[in-house]
Amino acid sequence: MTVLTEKDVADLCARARTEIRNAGDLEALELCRRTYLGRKSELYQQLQTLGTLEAPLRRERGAYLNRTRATLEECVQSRKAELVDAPQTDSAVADLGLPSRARYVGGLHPLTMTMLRIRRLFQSAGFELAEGPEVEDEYHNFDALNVYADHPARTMHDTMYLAQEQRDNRLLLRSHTSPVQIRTMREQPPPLRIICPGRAYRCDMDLTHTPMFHQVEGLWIDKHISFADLRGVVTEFLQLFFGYEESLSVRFRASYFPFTEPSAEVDIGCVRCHGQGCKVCGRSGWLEVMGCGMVHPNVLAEAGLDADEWNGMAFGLGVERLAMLYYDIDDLRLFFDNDPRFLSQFWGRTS
Amino acid sequence: MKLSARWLGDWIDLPRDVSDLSERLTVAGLEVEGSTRPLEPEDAKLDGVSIARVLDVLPHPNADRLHICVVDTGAGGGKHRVVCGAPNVRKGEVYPYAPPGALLPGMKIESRKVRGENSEGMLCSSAELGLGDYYGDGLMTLPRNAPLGVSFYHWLELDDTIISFDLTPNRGDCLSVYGLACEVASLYDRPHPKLGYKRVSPSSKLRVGIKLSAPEDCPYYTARVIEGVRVASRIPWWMAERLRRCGVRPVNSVVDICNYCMLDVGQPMHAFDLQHIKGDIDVRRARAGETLSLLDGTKSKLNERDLLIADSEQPLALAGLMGGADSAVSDTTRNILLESAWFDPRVLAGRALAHGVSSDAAHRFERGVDPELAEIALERCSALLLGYAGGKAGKICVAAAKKPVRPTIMVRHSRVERLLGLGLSRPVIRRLLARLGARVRSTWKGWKLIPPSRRRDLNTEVDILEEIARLHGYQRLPTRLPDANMSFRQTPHSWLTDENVANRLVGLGYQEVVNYSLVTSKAEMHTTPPPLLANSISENMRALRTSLLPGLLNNMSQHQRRQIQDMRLFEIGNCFAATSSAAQPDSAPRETARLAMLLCGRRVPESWGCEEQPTDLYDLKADLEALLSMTGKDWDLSRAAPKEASYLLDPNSCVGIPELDGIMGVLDARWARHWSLRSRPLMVELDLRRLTMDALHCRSLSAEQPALSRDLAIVVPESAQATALKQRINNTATRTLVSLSGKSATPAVLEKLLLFDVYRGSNVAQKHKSMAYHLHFRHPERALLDSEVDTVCEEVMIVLNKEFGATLRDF
Repeated sequence: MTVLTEKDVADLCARARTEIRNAGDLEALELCRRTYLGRKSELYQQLQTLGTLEAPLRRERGAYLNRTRATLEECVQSRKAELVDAPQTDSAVADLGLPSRARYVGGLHPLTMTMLRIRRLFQSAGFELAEGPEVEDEYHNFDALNVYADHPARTMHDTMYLAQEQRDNRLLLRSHTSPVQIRTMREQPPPLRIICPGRAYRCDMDLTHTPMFHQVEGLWIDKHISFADLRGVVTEFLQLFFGYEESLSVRFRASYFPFTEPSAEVDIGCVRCHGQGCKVCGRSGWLEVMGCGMVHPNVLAEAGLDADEWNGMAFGLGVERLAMLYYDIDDLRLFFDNDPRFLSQFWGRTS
Repeated sequence: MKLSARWLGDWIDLPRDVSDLSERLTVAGLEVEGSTRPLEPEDAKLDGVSIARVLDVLPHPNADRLHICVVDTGAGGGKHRVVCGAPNVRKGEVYPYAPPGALLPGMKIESRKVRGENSEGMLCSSAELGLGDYYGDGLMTLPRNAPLGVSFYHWLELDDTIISFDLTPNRGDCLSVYGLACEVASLYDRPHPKLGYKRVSPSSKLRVGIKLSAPEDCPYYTARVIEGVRVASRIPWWMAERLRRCGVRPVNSVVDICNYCMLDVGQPMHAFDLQHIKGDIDVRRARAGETLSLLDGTKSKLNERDLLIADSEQPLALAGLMGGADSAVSDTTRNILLESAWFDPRVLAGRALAHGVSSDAAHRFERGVDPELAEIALERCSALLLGYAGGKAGKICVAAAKKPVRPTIMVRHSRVERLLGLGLSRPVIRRLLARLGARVRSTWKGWKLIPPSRRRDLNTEVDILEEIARLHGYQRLPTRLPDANMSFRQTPHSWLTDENVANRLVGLGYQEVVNYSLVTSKAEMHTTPPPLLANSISENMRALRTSLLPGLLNNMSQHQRRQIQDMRLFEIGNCFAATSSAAQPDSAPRETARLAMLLCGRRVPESWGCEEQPTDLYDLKADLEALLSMTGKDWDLSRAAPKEASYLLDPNSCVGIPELDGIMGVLDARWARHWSLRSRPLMVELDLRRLTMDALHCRSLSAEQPALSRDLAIVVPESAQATALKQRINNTATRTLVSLSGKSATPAVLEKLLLFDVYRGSNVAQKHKSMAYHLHFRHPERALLDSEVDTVCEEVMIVLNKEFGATLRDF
């Protein structure tokens, strides 16, 4: 083996440095490292021969050989760092316009979303969820609610009855969610604060009626509930539901329900035209959204409560109606068509 | 109900602008649905149309059907020649006349030539004037004494507003102009109008005896004979026009006048043809088997619930509902018996519906008519009849049992504040009660009052409290949020709400749908007999659904029609099962909340770089598992469902989940054809309320030891089932690991067993399949040795070979 002179080593070093600096990637750099610093490299072998030399020469050669090695190692390290940090210029440029890989997206039905929204508002005010059967009897749907047999209000409801033999207290599909009031009052001691979302049925089908629809019933029985409180609860609810806060005008109109007195229909300023008058509100500027009232003493008595001690408020909301107003839906039938073009508009939305 | 504002003005001074009135009435509970003008179109003014007499009718020289009329429009108006084609034009009669320049709805009148003859304007029919067909077709014949040349618009008082009300059933008192005027007076704090009348002095000797056989149902009955009435006479224009504006069809003078009185004061009246009454009037309940032909042409079977006006021989009318055809007033009627009575609303309630008839009388009697009104209305009506239809009135015959009395109502001052949240002083409240028209006396605690007789709806304290609120104004009542007692109520920990479930499914890419609970009653669409409805809107909605799956299949079929193939749908809703048995024939159906899911189409929506793969049972299984993982329990989804449970699904691939009353599988091909489906969807349905959550107790984590894993690819006959293989591998591995560790030491565990491939094809024998498993082993306390794991794998292979004939796959 030839012994390299200091000049040879310097040349080697220069050659190696150029090559290291030019290494295009980590692989090439590793090859360089092996060539110039590996066990088979010239420099390594020169270092191996140091042991055979005389001390002064060994020191001298050892000094510049080791310096060279250190220099090259440093050079490799710095080139390595450069390569690792370098932007990947040669990788393919991503087509950012390519669509995402598709995935199925689900959604809740707008009626469910509306019911959840209503529920959440009332639950935040301490109302609890209550439930009752959809197949009811005349007692709970009518009699206990002060709607006696042949009451004009009974015929207005167009109730669907179950086919059966029995003549008294017939089974029916509840025509409103109000029977839940009776069931809850009989099962739980007052004070009570409940809401009950659910389905109701009437024998009616046209542009503004479907034979099945959804209501949310509310009931608050306590010792000091007044009509002023009812106005407060209903007004606050409607303003929060529509997200208009104080700017939403709410109007209470006297009305008649056999199970409440005083009774009221509640109108809100039209959410489309803001009271200017449009097709949605029939040019009146008002939209009827719910019925409510103070629980009738006869209903309290029927539920076993002393009307002088307890009173309460009750209200009922039409879910379809509120959903149509909230989401600008113009056709009631869309709810039960389950047309994906309609439903997909609600994808990913929350209540 | 429709009402003319001008008519209302007869009773009470009205503000000029009815929009304020409409608003006040609406807020007070008498909902005004809308208001219109008595003309069509509403803004028509009939400029220039006047009243003219036809002086002469000459033949048209060039047309047989046309006439040339010479019309006179009175002093200063002059005479005009008008070509007219109406067959009813007569010399000497008076008609509305539109001269050139006049404005009729949708047309401007000009003089023009008609078949060569000059025509200066036209004579008008009521339709041409925008009054509809109320006055028949042909020219509108006006009374001979109508003032010539006067504006037709003003003469007929067309400057009027017709207000439509939607009245709640408690306000029967407002079903008349007078009643509404009283309400307006209360609302505007004006004096109530007086219901005056003049007694008609009897000049006929004819009488009819009256017997009240059902004094509870009809405690007060009045009637009088009017002798020699002229049924064919015309009622005055103003009356006809008012009836038209209220939407009442003309019949004959007697009926029209009765209708007018009913609308005016609220008392329904009925006129009988006296010649058809045999003997005395008897107000009685019907006897079973009796029948009566009614005015509307129907024949009604009567029963004991019907109240009748009868004579000594037979029924004449259904009291308060409708008269009989035989005793009806007709062209040949000479003498009539005019009835004005009070019937108990409780007796009449529901009878109109039972007989399938509807009448203005029934509508009012059901809602309660003022019993004080009967005689007053009879006198008012008699006066009009005598005035416009002639005849001589007989003496009023009255049969009275116990007239219903108004209750005395105690109202406590303290309740006003308590119920309305409104602190009103005693004088203020007293003033409101006076506005109501009630007789009021103060008591120590509040007031004692007798409501006005016309307000049949005021009977209890709370009724009066509502009136106080109404008259004070609902909008002026305070608004506040209640002081509430705070309380926590515990919901059971195990509750999994519908919302939780729905949100999980939405996260899995499922769309919620809402279908009707009302379905067809066809037996083949139900697993169990469905509860049936007695009445419904259609045969397709005659039963209650017993399963959610048919609804989802309908949705799928509709989606397909909309060119959509990939679907993930779910529904949450109640299903019903008939529970009737011989012992309990009419027990209520069982109602359970259920969940159903439907999956079909591609596994991943169509997109670039994804291979198209159809979904199969195992995709639905994955979604169901993801849902069931919410419960924290293990559910066995590998058992075949019993045949009867899987009626919609293919019995060869139908999983039963009896713990959830559930099934999962592929739609049977037969049903796919029934719904015309291009693919067979995967479906699951289960009882939602059985999904309850287990409490979660997290285990503590110790220092992690390295795991060892092995892959085993085994070849087994097709008959080997995944569940059994998994179980054997698990058991054998666990047993071997326990024996390897010795009795006292903690054993290693087979931490994970994952089937990662199922393969059939080359290198695998026919009717065999290769199943490849990852096995992950770990010891909780130390590193495992390769030799230990190899022993386990060998042991597993021995067992699998023995039981399934399994061999290691040869690659």
